[in-house]
Amino acid sequence: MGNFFRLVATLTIIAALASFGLSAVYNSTHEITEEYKRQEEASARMAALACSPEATFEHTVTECQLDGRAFEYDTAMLDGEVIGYSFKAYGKGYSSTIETIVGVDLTGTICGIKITFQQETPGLGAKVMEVASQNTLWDVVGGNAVDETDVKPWFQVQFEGRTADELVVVKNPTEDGILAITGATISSDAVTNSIRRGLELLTSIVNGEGDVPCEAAPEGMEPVGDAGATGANPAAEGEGR
Amino acid sequence: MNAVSELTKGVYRENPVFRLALGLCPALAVSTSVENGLGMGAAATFVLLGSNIVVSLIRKAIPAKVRIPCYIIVIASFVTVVELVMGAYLPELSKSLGIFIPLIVVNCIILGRAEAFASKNGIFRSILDAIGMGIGFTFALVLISALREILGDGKLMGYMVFGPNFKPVLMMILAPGAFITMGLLMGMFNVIDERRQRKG
Repeated sequence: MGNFFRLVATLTIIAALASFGLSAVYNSTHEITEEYKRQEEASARMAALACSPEATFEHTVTECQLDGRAFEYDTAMLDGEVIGYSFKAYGKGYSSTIETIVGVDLTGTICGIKITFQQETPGLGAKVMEVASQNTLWDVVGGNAVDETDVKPWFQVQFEGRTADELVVVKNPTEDGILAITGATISSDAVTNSIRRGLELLTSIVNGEGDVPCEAAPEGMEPVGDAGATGANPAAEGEGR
Repeated sequence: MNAVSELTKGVYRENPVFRLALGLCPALAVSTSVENGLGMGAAATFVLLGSNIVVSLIRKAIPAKVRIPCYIIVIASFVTVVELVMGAYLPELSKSLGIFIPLIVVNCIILGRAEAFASKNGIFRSILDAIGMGIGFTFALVLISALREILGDGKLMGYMVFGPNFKPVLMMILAPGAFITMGLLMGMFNVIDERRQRKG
């Protein structure tokens, strides 16, 4: 019995020490991580709404369900006028849910997107974030490398200027559409389809006349029905799938 | 065995990937680019060093029956430390390594060294063993990932190696490429060793 007690005691002590150590590390890194996430989100929204960088945002939570969560979007305001929207899309990829912030103008055209979270396979699906350098290794070794601090991730740039109808994944560079990442079609599809679904739902909400699939924000929020009515959207009356 | 040899054995003679065939899962999965290989190697080395030190320190206090759960707790704690610290200070690397950082917990090199070495040796030797094995693992990852990145993506460290007309061998960046590269490298090291033995 004494032996049994010793086994339990040893494990308990080690687990307790480990927990203390970990909570200490967590406390000292938590703030930095959170701050980084906040900055990321803010800069993502700026990048996504490249067509209106000075806008202020008004958050709306809808009762619509999209991909298993409540659909939320932000209305971008500039000088009291609605100039666009941004929303967050969640796409189930190969090994994670890929989160993307999407900026849209009043015609339903994407200004820009920014992926804020993914845990896809490094080297394959993770390339949705890739910033491809145009410098060759020899340029870098020889000191002829061009400064590339402003280069954007190539996969995400493809979404700019597209409407919901034009969000189609293609595998051949000669076709028009979102060029899939080689070897990572699932991740490419996940991003593209989640954005298209979000965009279709957003369109039907802000154009909200007649058969809006799910309308009306919770109490205390401004009704979203008329918000974007001025910029009637030519894009499909897509039901939120 | 002297101290220097304790340090160098992990690099070649007992290289964890090519010789002991340990830690193959991360070696296959993360070796798509040199950058990822280096990051994974460094993270695993840190965990290995930490767990070897702690296991060597507490080895006499732990009853044999619960040693494995104890090692796992120690290893898991160090992995969580790496994950938290990396998320705070190296967020880009942490993003690109994604799911593979938590998976260091089940990297058998680390548990293997804790069980086979640190639990039987003093702290000094355990540190040397951890550093040597860490370097060996990193070396293996960098070698595999360099070959795969050059052939499968036409790049090295994210920079193009060939002209724009180079058509990458896509298979090399996918899982089969990892197996092929690793198999050929293992074979190559065996051939080198055989030659050496015949001469000696």
